[in-house]
Amino acid sequence: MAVKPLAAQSLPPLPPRPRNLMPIWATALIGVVWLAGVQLDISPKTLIYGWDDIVEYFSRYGHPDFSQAPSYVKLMLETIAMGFWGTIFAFVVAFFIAPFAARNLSPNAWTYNLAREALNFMRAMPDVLLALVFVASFGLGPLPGALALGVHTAGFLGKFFAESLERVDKGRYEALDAVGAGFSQKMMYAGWPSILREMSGYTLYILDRNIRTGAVLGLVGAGGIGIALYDTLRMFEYDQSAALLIILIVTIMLLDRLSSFVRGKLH
Amino acid sequence: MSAIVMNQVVKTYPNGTSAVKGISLTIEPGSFTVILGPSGAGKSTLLRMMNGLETPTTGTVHVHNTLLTRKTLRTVRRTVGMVFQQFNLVGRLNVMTNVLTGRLAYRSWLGSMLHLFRAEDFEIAHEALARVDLSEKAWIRADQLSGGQQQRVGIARALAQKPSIILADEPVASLDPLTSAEVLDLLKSICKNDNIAVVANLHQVEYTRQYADRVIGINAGQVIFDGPPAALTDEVIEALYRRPEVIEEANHVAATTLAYA
Repeated sequence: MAVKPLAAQSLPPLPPRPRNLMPIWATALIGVVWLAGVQLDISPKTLIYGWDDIVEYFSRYGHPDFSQAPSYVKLMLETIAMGFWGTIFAFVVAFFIAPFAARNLSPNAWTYNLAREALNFMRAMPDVLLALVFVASFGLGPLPGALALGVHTAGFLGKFFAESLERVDKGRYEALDAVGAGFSQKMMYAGWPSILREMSGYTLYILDRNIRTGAVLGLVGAGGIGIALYDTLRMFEYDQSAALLIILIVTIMLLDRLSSFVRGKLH
Repeated sequence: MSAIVMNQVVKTYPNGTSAVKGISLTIEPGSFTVILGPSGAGKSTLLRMMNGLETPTTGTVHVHNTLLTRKTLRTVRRTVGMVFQQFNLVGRLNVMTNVLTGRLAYRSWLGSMLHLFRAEDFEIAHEALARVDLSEKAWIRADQLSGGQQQRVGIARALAQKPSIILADEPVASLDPLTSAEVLDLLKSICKNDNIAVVANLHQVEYTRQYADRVIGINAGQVIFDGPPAALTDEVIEALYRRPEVIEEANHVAATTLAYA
């Protein structure tokens, strides 16, 4: 049979084209963002007038003074340790709560909701607030800081783990059910091994985040480099502050390298 | 003692789909039974009710004279191996660990938490791996193996349970014809040499004729044939695969295709 030209063929009609509401949503979104800007007095004018001040302010940090570097490095290590312990705490808590917060694994609706709400609660408590509470109860130092980071990020890690566990192919869990394995065996032989990669990725991200936030928690007396940063800023010792900030930035960059290296090793 | 006894088993899903409509059957020890039928006939649901992966809406299932209930579930499953269409191995774990999971029901949860197993469990797993001819792959990650090899690991995991029954849910549906024959040969030899009852879901008539001792034909949730493969005539096959609505649709598609040709 000869192939007819396209136009000559009577093509079967397409079903009616669905209406695309994207332009309406996009316009609405832009409108809302613009209104929020007006409400908050965000205008390019302020930004332009403020530019000179910004440049002037940052120029004060132009001469970092590393004369006290050894003590700063020690404080930085303290902050890193705080981040580590906070992450370990978060990991342990998440490890035990996440299986119950995964819809496909939780034994019943009651435990599922309880676990989820517990994680939501931990996530909703700001770590600065937690640090204030813990500093008041345990005194100044890195311990309350680590605890505050741990409680807050346990909520995040638990949610991440639970969502990853929900995405694991249901056949893997069934295979373990079929051999007669118990709940914890199912977790150790199907759940956790299947999400090992995501798990380590999330944990490394939380570690990175805890070290960064740990530096801020010093401001409320939770130890580490934050206290020194706060003191020098308050005393207008810009040279010292600059040195502290550089140490902080370099540490974060090194950590990022380290965590992508570790993640590359896991595949 | 019969291996499995199902009595008036009905399965209706919450969405109203009725997958199995009152089936009673008995599986004898050491037999190779094939459940044959088109997709959606209820084969999988029927098989999965034999080890409690699905709970019957009404009716009872006995495995070795033990009634399947919430309480007896784990002890019953211990001696009932299962092989899946998608193998359901954990790809990141090595072959040996995947096979060792077959031993979990015999061990306390605390002992198995750290992936530590007893020497006797390693021996059983080693035997199972040798049986499926994959000893040399023991320390390789399961996701590095081919489909046929993965299914053999799945069979080794079932063997590690020291089962008296193996349920195989479409064990060759994801495999090419050559590997399919290998896997079915393996299941058949395990059935005959180790006296393990095998119940396999298949949708291929040729394999069923070749391997089954007994065929249970299912369509629309009901048994419409039960007998030796020799009795599986073309009329029976035709009745088994008859789906009025599908035939109608096929005719319609053929007509429209012709109209535009």
